[in-house]
Amino acid sequence: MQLKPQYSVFVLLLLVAIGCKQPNNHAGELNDAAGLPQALKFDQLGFKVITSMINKKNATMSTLYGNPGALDYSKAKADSNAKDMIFALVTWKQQDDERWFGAKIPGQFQSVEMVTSKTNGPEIQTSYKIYKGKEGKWQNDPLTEKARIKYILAQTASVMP
Amino acid sequence: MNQPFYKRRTAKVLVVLLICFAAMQLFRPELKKQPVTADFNGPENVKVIFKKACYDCHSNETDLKWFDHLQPAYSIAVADVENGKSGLNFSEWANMAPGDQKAKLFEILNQITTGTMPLKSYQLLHHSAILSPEEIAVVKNYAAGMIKEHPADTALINTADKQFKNWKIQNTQTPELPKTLTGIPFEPDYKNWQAISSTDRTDNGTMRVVFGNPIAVKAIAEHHINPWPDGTIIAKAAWDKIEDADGNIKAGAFKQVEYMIKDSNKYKSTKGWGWARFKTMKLLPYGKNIGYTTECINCHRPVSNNDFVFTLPVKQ
Ligand code: HEC
Repeated sequence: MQLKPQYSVFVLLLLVAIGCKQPNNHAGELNDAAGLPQALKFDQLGFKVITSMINKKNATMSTLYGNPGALDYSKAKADSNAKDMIFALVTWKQQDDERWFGAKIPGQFQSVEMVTSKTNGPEIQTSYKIYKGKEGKWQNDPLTEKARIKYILAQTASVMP
Repeated sequence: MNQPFYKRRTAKVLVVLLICFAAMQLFRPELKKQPVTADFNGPENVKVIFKKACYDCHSNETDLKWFDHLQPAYSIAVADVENGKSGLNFSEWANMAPGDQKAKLFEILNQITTGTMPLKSYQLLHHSAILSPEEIAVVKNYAAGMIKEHPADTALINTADKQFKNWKIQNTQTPELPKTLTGIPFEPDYKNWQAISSTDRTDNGTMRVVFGNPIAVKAIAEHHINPWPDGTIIAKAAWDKIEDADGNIKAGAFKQVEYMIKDSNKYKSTKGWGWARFKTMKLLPYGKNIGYTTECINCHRPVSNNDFVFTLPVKQ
């Protein structure tokens, strides 16, 4: 069989096209590892972003969310005119951003920590629970609870004009 | 039927083509000669790589091969050089502030690693411009060496504190919303949207939260994000990183918020997206003229197969 010259041009172009294939950058994909456990129904809580942080030693990054009371508290700090507050701190292991050398993005989902603070007359009741891993369940953690509540309440809101 | 050669159809077609080709050679757009005023000032091993793979289009030292001088290649080359130099000109590199040089270097690196640059059409005939993994590693190492992370100094901390205090005062005012030159107004509602990712930029000392409006969030939930549906808005807010001695980093001063607004009709000429950036608490719209969108698009080119979006969205 003899190839017509026109075809060889076509074959050449095809080879070029194959050679030019871009390295896989996971186009159209979601960040599955970082996805929050569906059981949490986190998107239905209607929380807003308060701030975000990075822990270099643990190579983790976190975003702090909260209800309006929590957001107000983190913005104003001074007058904690006791409102009902719910904070949720979501933490991920970091991973290198394959689409930008020099950037890190959320990797494996680690945990959600929730701090709830309710006013009951003059009393303020604060509770803490943590949800670890994709297949986790809500748990108490008496050992670290105090320190974690303190840490979460101490965060100030990121400036967002 | 054996006609003489000049009477055959193929021959006639060939002659016509030849005449066209010759005529095309008469059309010669000008490639302006400009002096090298502030050449790339990085290490020699990096410069060698840029020289052989990039300088033809990104410097005032364009060195066209004989076949580049033939039309229509010549017109394409002249246009590439003009477009290339407007976004990056190694002959004017040293005129950039050190921070801008660093940012450009990371942009360059990301264009190289993704195979966006040098242009494919150029590599076809200029094989020496195809960079080997070793050469890419040289550029990578040079860039990585520029990443310097250390505990925040007092200036950075003070700026953040001052801004936080002023923000609380300003919070109650509603000033008139600024607009980009392309007519995109600042959208204050982004902070009420869902976060769809965050980034830790070791290359420029900022941390970011990426927000998606309800249409974007729905698209993520349904996994229809390439392309993103019309009405999608992605907002990315950036802050200084404030690091303490233990390597804990929190958000410092607000730097900017950037938007990508999907409307495949309205923004047809800019890849289906409206592009906007508002800087500092003054919300200064980015861009000296409407050509600023070219800059946005060029930098986003490495993700052209992903609807020009860098963000890998996280489902809540
Ligand atoms: C054949 C010409 C050509 C060569 C060679 C070339 N480029 Fe480009 N470059 C362009 C053009 C044209 C653009 C404008 C965007 C487009 O049309 O794709 C561009 C855009 C860019 C941009 C974006 C600039 C901006 O607007 O922010 C960067 C960065 C870049 N090139 C880096 C490189 C690097 C690094 C190399 C060498 C490894 C290189 N280019 C080689 C033609 C070239």
